[in-house]
Amino acid sequence: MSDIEIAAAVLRSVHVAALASLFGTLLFMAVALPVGSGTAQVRRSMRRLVLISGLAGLIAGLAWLTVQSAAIAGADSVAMALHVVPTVALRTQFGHWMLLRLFLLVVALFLMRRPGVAIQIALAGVALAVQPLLGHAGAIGGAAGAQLIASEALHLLAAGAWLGGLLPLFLAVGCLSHEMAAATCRGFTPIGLASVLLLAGTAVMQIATLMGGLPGLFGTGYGHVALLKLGLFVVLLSLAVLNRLVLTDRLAATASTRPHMRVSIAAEMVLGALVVVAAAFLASRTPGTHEQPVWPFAWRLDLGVFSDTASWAEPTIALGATAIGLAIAVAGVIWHRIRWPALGMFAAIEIVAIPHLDVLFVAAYPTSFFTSPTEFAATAIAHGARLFAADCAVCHGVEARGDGPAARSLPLPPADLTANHFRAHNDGELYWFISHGFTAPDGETAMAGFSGVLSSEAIWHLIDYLRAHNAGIAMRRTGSWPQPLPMPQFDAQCSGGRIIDLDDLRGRAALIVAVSGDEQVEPRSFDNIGAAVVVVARGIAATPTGATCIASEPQVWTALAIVLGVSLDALAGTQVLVDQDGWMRAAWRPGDAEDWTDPNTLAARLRDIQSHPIAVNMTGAQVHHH
Amino acid sequence: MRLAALLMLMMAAAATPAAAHAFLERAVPPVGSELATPPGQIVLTFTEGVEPLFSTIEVRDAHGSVPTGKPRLPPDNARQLVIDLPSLPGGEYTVIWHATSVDTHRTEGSYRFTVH
Ligand code: HEC
Ligand SMILES: [Cu+2]
Repeated sequence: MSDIEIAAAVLRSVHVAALASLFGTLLFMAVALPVGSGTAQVRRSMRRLVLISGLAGLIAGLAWLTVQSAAIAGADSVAMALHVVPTVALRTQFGHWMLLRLFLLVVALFLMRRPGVAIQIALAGVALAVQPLLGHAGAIGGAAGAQLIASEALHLLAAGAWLGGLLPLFLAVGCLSHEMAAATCRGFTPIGLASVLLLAGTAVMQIATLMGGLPGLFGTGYGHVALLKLGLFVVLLSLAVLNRLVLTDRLAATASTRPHMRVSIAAEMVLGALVVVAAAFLASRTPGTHEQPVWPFAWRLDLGVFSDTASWAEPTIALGATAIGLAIAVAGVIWHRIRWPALGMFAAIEIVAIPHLDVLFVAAYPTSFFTSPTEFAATAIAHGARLFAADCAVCHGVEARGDGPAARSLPLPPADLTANHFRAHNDGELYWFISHGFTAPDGETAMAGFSGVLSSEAIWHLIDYLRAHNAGIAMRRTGSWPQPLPMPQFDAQCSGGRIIDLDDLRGRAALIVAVSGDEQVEPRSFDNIGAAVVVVARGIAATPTGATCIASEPQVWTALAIVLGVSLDALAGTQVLVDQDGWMRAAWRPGDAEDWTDPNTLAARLRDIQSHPIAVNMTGAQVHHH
Repeated sequence: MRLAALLMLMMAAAATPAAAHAFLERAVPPVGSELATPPGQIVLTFTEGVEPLFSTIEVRDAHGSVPTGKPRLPPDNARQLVIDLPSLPGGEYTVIWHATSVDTHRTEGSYRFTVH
């Protein structure tokens, strides 16, 4: 992070903390503070706190806007920073929301003199809830973005209600009688409890979307800051529980607990401030979904057992037992009378059940959750094929069957990369195998790692090639692909000079036709079959007409030949149906029984495919079966 | 430990990673493409909304910068930047882009294409 980014993050946290304090104090006065003559003085100091928070929010907000403007515009002097502020404020999304927020703050401050805080709470709440629109969530767009904005807005309101209520709680415990102070603590409980539940729920959602799940949480810099924040939150929560369950009752009984309570609340405030700072730094970093997560554990969860009829029973029963054990434990905590027997039973059940959950975990490597950046592109597959011939075929064989000329002299037989077993590994695992190689049990190197030899890009290309080749061999053997395979990504020219790629075809099925110059096959018009038509051309200078687009890069031809398991020359005339989600669903070669040159047959196949979409997440690219 | 991880994993299983910095999603003319006819525009599509006032697209040939228009958003897509090009003679071109996403983060990148 540059200096200016650090300054912006610090100002952002001061600004947000002030807004949280404003909202939390107003809410505290309305909900937690008991009414009565004894509270007049503390009410006065809280009104002062509202004023100070509002002003601090305003000033820090203006400072943040200025520094952020300077950062956006790359300004290197104060004069230039001030110069770009109006442009940023008036003509960017960030500026618009910031202006709205500052306006709401000013209005809330003007309403200070009026009795009744409902409208002030609403204004402060909206000002606080605008936060996600100033950050990552506001930039995502679409339904996912809207969902994230809603969840982050709730997250901020909950944080404001809880953390912002701590300072008024501190004041109340300081100046009220000890009975009334204890009553105030009890009054704050519903706010605290609701906030904690909301914070935890919305945090899970953010981990899933911005962080890239657990791999992102444990394996990226962004995730580590989030973990730090999570850790602070847990300590904060424990203090809050201590205050409520132990100290509050004592405070109600004796005034001498007052100093302990105040120290504990002050500690909560410090932790709360640190959480806000961690959150601001999190907001100024690249979210974890853009980094390759380095998985720190030697195992990972694998739910593949559940799809295997022979092995699903054991973990299912164990999971059920674990859940029943937990339920018994909860019952024990609630009903004092059965506490010890219940906890004993819980322990016994878990000791037996948990070891059976082991089958749900498989070995993992630091790169297990790396994802390929290549989009399974035709260019990557074709490049991977060349690399394989040069670097791998000596051991694995030209066809990757594990029978290369060097195979016999190795301590371990080279893996048959055309076997079904190969598909059990995800991309990240294959990346680890290729970059780190294998050692035989006796310590002798069986396959040297390629991390120093090949670039990470080249390794991804090899993986794409191996997947394509593995599918192609299966297609050659059995006439169909053993698992859904995405259509290799390509660019194609359409009429009117438009260039499309696979993403432009999403939502529509496509017919891919391989046409070669020597065959003299006329690209027929498939206009009325309800699918986009892409001609993969070799050695002909065809021009796109009507709805037909043409992919003439030689790599597309090569990649298609590999996934079909045929030689380059044998590809001509082949047709492939790609469904609306980009999966290759069926292939036809000249001479096959069913006649795809008949538009009616083709249209029927197409309708069938379109009405049976595959329920796999395309972004995961490969499903895992063990 | 493992159990906690398991529960959390199940919750996070439905994870749909979302982008949150403007990265180049696709380019026209495409990255690394070889074109028979010179392109009239450059259209860059990013993974999220961008601020045209604080984003730049520069096109360079062997002699330096090619004069182009300022980047603008097409009316229907807040994730695209478009610039108009003068007619480009044959040669290799580098496109250098700097994007500021609507969440104020800056990203940059470059790619090449060739006109025959
Ligand atoms: C020196 C010979 C040698 C070379 C060269 C070699 N490998 Fe291997 N490879 C092996 C051996 C031996 C194994 C089996 C290791 C084992 O079973 O533990 C293996 C295993 C693998 C596996 C694991 C397959 C599985 O399903 O478990 C992959 C993937 C792989 N190699 C890919 C490659 C790629 C890609 C290249 C070229 C960049 C390559 N190998 C080059 C010898 C070699
Ligand atoms: Cu294996």
